[in-house]
Amino acid sequence: MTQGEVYIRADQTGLSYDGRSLSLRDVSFSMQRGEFVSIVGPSGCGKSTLLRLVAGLRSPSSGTLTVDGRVPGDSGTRTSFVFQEPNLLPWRTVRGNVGLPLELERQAATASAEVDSKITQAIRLVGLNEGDDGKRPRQLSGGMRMRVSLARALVIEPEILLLDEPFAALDDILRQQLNEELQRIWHQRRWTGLFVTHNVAEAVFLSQRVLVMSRSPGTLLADVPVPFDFPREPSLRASSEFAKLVGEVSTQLRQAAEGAA
Amino acid sequence: MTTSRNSNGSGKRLGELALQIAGPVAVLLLIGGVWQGCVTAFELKPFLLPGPLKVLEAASSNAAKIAAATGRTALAAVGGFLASLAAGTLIACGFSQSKLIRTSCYPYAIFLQTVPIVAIAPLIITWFGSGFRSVVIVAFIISLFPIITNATAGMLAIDPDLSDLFRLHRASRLQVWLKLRLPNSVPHILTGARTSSGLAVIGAIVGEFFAGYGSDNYGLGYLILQTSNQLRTAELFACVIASTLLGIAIFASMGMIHATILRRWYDA
Repeated sequence: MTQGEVYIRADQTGLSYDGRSLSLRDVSFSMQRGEFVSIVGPSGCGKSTLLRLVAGLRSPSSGTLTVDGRVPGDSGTRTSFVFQEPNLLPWRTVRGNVGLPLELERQAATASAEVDSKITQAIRLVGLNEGDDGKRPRQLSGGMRMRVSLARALVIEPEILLLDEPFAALDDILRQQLNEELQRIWHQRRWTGLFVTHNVAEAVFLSQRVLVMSRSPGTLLADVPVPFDFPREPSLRASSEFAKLVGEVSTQLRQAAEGAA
Repeated sequence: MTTSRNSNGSGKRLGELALQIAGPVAVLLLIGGVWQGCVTAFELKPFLLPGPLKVLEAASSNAAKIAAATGRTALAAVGGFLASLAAGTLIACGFSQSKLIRTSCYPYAIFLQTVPIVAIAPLIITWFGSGFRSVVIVAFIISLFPIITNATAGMLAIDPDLSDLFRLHRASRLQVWLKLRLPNSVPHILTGARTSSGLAVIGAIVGEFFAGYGSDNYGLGYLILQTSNQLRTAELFACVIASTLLGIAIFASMGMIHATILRRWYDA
């Protein structure tokens, strides 16, 4: 767990779906263990694809991408993914949904009492209470479903957490609340976080660095450090430094969107 | 406030239900009246078209026989239907495993849909003999196809993100099937099952036309054929009505099971 060493490294990473059209081109960046980095970029620039490469769900067609020095799928790193939609299984209760990754990874050695307590812990961590345990997804609001989805990702105590515009469908207040809670949980747990969004304020509030991607085929244009200390208070959003940084990143994002047009 | 709204709601629902019953009953009485009127006015011979009163009389004097036949037909239909529910789901499981299996075998599944059951019923009797077993087999064959297609569609209609989630957490093929594909296909299977249950009743009656002979245990199909041959038309009408009611009863029960399961475990 030494700080400062490279944990995730993309080197000239490219991806083409059918051998012709590129969706990612020469993406290079690196992340340290425990870092929280956001990626912003215009729609369809391949941000989500990049997350899937880190997750090992796709393989790059050119260049390399490594996690802890190895190919993502083989690295044995505990990785979780939070999707844009909560994607809960409607036939399972909140507990059943949160426990799914533990069931799938069949940690046979873990006693059922331990599994139970892990599930309970994850559910409480995202701010749901006991009364919600037995509910089914259709009985929950959009914000609560996203909390369940977050709990499902946290239950395996991930080393890497990948988030693909998880709060895009929520209203602004709810988004801010969940940003604050995500930031609190990250501050407690210190997994390595990669967060894709097209909301600049959200990216700046959550992360230590913001990467700006260009239009398709996506490539990295800028790497903006975010100097604010953690834990960050909601009042940070009202500060002029925050506004200034959001403005800077927004300008770069505009250039990214218009550049290739 | 909630209670008053609820009672209002249920009162409204009761009113709607009353309308739903009263309307069709009024139409039934009207048709019955016109029917009886025509039979009386034109002095139609009862073996051509018996009046509704004669049909009712035939139904009540043969009530025990018709009820027993309906019961046997229902048993065969439900047996065939349950068999296709099980077999159809298993076949769909195979189909959902690979595109190769799907494209290679699908034409033969369509065969089930297109083969005229009347043409192969005699063959089934040659193989399985006359009687209940052959009737169940005919009901099974005719009701299998909707289950296969709907279950296969349901097992394949998986959100790509959910596939990724299962892959990310290194789910085995069996886990993907048991924890994702099968439960995801349940609403689709139920939709297929509604169509299928209606077909199974038709299958059982057609099966009995061919295979229901020569036994004391006859069903509606046999009774329809017998009363038709002997020009006992009033009794034939009673049997046709019994078949229709049986179809409605099975279709409606399937509809209720469908709605209950969707309401309890799924989004709809």
